[in-house]
Amino acid sequence: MNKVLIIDDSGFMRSVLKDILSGCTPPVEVHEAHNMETVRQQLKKVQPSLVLLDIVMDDNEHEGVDILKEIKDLYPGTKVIMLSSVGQVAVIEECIKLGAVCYIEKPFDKSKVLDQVNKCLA
Amino acid sequence: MADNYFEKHKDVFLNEAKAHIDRMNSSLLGFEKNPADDKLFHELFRSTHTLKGIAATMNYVEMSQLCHAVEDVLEALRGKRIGLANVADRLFESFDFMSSDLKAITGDDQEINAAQMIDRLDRLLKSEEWKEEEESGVLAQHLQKPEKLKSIEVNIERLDGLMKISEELLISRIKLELLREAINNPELTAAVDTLGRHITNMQYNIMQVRLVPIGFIFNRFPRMVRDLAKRQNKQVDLEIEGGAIELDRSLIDDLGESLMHLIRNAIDHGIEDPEERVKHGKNKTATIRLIAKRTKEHALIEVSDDGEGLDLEAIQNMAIKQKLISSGASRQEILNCIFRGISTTKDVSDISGRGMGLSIVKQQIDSIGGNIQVESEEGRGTRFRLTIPLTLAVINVLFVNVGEQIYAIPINQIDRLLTVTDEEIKGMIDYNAIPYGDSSIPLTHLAELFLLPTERLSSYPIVVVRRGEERLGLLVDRLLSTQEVVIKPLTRIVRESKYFSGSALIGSGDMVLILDVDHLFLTGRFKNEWGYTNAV
Repeated sequence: MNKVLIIDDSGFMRSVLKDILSGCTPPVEVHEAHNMETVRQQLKKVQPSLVLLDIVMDDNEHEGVDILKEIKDLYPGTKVIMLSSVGQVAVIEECIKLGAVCYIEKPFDKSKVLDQVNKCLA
Repeated sequence: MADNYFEKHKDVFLNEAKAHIDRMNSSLLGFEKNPADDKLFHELFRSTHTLKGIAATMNYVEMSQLCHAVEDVLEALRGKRIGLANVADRLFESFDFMSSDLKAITGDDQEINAAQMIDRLDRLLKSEEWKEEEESGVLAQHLQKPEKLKSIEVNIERLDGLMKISEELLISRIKLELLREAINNPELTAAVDTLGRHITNMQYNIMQVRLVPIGFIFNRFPRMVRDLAKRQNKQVDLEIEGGAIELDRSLIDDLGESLMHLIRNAIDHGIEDPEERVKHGKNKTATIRLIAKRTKEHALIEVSDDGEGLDLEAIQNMAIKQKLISSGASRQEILNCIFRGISTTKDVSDISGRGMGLSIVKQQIDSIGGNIQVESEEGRGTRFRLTIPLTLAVINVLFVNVGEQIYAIPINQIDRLLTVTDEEIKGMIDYNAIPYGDSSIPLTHLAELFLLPTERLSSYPIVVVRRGEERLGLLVDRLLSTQEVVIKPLTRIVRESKYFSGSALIGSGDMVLILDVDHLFLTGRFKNEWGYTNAV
């Protein structure tokens, strides 16, 4: 089964995304992380094939972009989809340059999310 | 209206949104005091941004648009295009608006239209002359009601429900135990024992969950002090200590309202203008201290200010005129008149109302079984001391007959009920102990203790009470019923007897004394000098 890691410091966001991902076919195994420390733990333990990463995530030391860099450095094979709010074009461009596959905008459109996720896992 | 698909996540959203709004308030409060603290500003930004995102996900458009408007103002602040002093009030107002919107959403109502609030934020950016306006219509009604503590992270009604169920279980257990004595089946006995232990544990845990740190009500005061002081052009610092002390949630609302009233009073009437203060050699900034401490049985809360103190003469004159005291009254008696409707405020403003306020505070504190005292020194300040008992105001008790009297024993201190025969205890020296499990526990014959007439029977009901790991048997004449009662504090005379912890108001309006189990343990041990150990 494909493994997906959701990285977002909002518990609400994580539960919404987890819910959306439960509609994936074929089904995926979902894991969560909320700060740099848990991100590192989960990456090592789970070795996900896909990561959903919140751009504005911030644990006071590291931001979304930092986490993206680290993932691409240590796990180049892992695909990363950025989650962003409206109006963050500049940051999104930077992330794509750093290796993110694509981005999904909030508020989430359930079918769009599933589309992108399934495409990445194909 | 929210997208139906995300409805199921609403509770998580509500909790998180509230946390973000709280953080926005505290970050801005802190940043206002320390404009150099970038970290606080950063936190403020982040919380606003995250709230915008999660609100948008739930399709709460008003909330998310309002957050966006706040973000714009914060951007302008960061880019130094605008000064904090010009925008702080509006920002706080918008946080309050978000809280109101959140309340509407929680109640399954439509969101509050934020257009007016957003407009006010936008106008700040156009650096239009912003005048103090009458808060109109929608804004006004949402900005004035103080929020009652409805839930922490667990819905209070569910907690109450749990509490009731656990007490029902306790009563069922007592009935089962009575039956167990009658039926004498070892398997049944063991099963009832186990069930009893689980129920006790559960009730203890539920009671723990009901405890709320007093800091929850203290939380709203820094904002209130800031806003009130600003409105009156006074400078006030609020110092808070002891927020970790926990109280049963049934006491929290009343206590919160009373404290709020006292603090408002201090700012409105106690604290002088900065110039006044300097003239009297005081610090320009006044200090209000809110301190909570606890003893074994009580929470002690102090609200004090270094303002101008109470005008003893004015109070005395009014009180004598209203025939509340005589001319020979003591200083304390005069001061206490403020709890009886006397007010010496020179102007009646809508901010905290008339002197009636303090008599209502006293009523509220009385109703939760506590008491309030005032001390004051003219020119130096005023101090209110509240004493709140930590026991629940309503408990379940077991009524028992001792002699011809009826007493009440708190159910949550009852370990089990037994029957022993006269034969069984005759053997134990002077009826001082009873067999219990593998050994024995001390026995206190209540009728003897209270010097009431009693008779020898062939068997006696025993109420085994506990204190921590210790057990004590109380020999009574008859077990009566169980009932939920309201505890009233004892009058001074009865209090001195120490065997009673309160009195229970029963349905008929009569009062029944509640036994102080802890104290009985001390007495029990005294009788147990022959070395009987307390079995577990």
